[in-house]
Amino acid sequence: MLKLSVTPSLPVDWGRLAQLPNLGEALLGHRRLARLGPFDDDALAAAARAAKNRGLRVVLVWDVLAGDADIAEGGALLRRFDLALFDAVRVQDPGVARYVRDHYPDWPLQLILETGSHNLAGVRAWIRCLQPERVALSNELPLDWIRRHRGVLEAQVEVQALGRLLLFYTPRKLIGTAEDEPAETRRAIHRFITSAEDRKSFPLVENRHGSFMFYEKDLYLLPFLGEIAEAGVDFARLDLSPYDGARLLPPLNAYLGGDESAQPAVKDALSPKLTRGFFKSNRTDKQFAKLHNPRLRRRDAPSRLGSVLETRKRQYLALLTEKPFAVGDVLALNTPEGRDIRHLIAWIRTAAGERRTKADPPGLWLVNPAPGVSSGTQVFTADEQGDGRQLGPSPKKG
Amino acid sequence: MFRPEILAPAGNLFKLKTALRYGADAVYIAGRKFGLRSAADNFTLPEIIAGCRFAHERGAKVYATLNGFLFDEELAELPAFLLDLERADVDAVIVSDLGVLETVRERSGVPIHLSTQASALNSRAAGFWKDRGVTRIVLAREASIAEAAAIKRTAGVEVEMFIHGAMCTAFSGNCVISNYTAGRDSNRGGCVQSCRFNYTLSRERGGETGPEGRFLSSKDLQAARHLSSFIDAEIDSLKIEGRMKSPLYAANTARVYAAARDWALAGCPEPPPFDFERELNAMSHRGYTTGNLVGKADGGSIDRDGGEAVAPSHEWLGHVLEAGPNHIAALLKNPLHAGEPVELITRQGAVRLDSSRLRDLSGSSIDKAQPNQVALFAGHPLAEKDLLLRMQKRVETQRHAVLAG
Repeated sequence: MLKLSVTPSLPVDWGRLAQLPNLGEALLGHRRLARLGPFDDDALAAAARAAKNRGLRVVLVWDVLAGDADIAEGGALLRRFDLALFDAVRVQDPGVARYVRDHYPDWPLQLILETGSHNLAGVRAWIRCLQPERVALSNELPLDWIRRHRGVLEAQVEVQALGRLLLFYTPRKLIGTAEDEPAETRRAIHRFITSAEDRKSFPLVENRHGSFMFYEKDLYLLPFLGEIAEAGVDFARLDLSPYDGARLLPPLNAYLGGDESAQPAVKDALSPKLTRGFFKSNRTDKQFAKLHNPRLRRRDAPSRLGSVLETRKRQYLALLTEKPFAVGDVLALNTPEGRDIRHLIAWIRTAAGERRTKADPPGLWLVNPAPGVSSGTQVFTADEQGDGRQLGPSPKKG
Repeated sequence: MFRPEILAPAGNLFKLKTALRYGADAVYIAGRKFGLRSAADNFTLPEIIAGCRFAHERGAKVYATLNGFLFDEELAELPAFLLDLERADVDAVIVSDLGVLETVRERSGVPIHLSTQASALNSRAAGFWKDRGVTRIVLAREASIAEAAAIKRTAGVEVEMFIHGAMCTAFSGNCVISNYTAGRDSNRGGCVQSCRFNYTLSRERGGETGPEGRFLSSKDLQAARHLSSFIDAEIDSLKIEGRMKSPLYAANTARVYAAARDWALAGCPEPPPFDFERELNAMSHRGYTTGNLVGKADGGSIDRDGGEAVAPSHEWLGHVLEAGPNHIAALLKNPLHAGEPVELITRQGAVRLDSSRLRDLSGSSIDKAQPNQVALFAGHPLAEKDLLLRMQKRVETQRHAVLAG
């Protein structure tokens, strides 16, 4: 059965939150360990106790990308905590995962594969290497991928179903820089940045860990929870932290409880624009091909001799060659416009103006001109063409 | 004394040869797939073979980037390419995706470097990757030189750091702006560089009042003053960003950093062989920053105004196709008027060429050469095939003329 894993809104209304159907656990972040963690020591402990009192599993979030000093600091912090309050720990950095494995080998680990893990071999390798109880899969993986591979993933699987989509995470203080605020501010600052190009407006949050930019549209997959469950997903993550809980929780409870009429009120409590993200398909997987001229043969063809650097009407072709050729040879010229021209070499000259019978070594050579040939034309040895065409230009195409 | 490798970008075979000629110890390249720069020329297999041969003849190395985050169907195509890379004799592959890494280990014996895309920032992460077979970690650009030294010491793995070029503001590999806003995967070569756009910062969604600027855009990294620190920290490889940039960039950065490294190794005797920073300023660039190398990147590392701190003094003019006793034939990429100041760039420095008697290939004198034209200059004893030419930017020349007048 699909369970919900929830990051609560602040202040947390545990009474309403605990009523969410199929709520399995609460994700709680300390401000030193979690990218967007809101709690200090005492508040974290209080929240964890409140969650446990309502029968929820509690997961400590330690999802910053960390240097050695950050890990040491995090380790010192953990030693102050009552770890019995936390049923699992959630990490992204493999170094943090190792720290947890080394020091708390029995503490269940949840691994964030946020981006960069889009193939089965990779996801399975992460599971094999770090033995997490769960992997939080990338938002860029369409549901169909999960449906196909769920059976061979030997860990619980989680996907995000509601909340902001993180686009960008940097340790730099971008808002403080823009507003000329002191860089070492300890409080979270919330702003929007609007692109001058297309007027898209993105939430931007700055805190002690740096700056976080989110997509202008929030992820909204609540109508697809049934489909997500059928695909074999174990947990759907709802990040309620950006929203007003008093506005969102009542209709959310109703909607998740089966009251379809509550959906507009749920959407009203979210951002004005919503998206399904890459839930149905991800078309960014097509590597964009550079627009090479398709009429030019591949430059690694074995018969390639070089290219035309410059032409001077009725005077010369300047060739840059990689192989020798000689007077009397017939070369095949493949122009950028797509014409194939066979060209008999009548004379060869050096750049210094000296006549030669053979162009060797490879380099810069001038030869008799050919009509219709332009700079960028590729030059091949014609005898390997074997096409029996006549000398001179082929008829223009099109 | 410990001698770090200077690792230069090579977007195509000509840039590879150029970077090595001008002092790089190694280059990194990409094939037509699996890298992060789909818009670069990139290498065909024969070009990879030729590039490796050229590098190995000079005692240099070639690393092939396979650092895209791949989906299953792309990963299926990888083993055949790995065989090609092994045949070409590349010295290592650079990966960031654990699935790619596992495939490389299963299907080939090529050494594996971990890309900066994996955002390795600490000793335990380095140890994790080392246990997976990685021999070198390209550290996240958020690591300092001191942190890199500690990671190397603790994890017992080679470390590589970026020392020059454009930087992501986000943790590399953790930015998906292009995926959502442009439908192109920034982690498989499709980055549209939205971080370079102009934005308005406001308290309300869509707000039009507030500071404006390129708030997400990082200045370019530049570490020419810190080569001694890299040497003391025994950083194995110093990497220059920029496979998409010009051959002049490849030449200049390789030349400057190799010279700065050698100068530092010699104990920094005065005077330095040339002004390293002035040479780096000669190229087009954003404002420079040391990023996180010596302290955490602060507000000054953001290219808020989108300008160049120092206007570049020179631009790429072309390269030598042929050097004879009495002539130099050069293929030009920018227009040139006879008599304009032209410099031939050698490993040792730039020397002035006589462009007053400019000729075309027919031998006729010309007043102006066009882009993509072969022009003939008077000969010069230091001229060699494939050396680069640069010229002072015309605006500068005019300004200087006005000032002189």
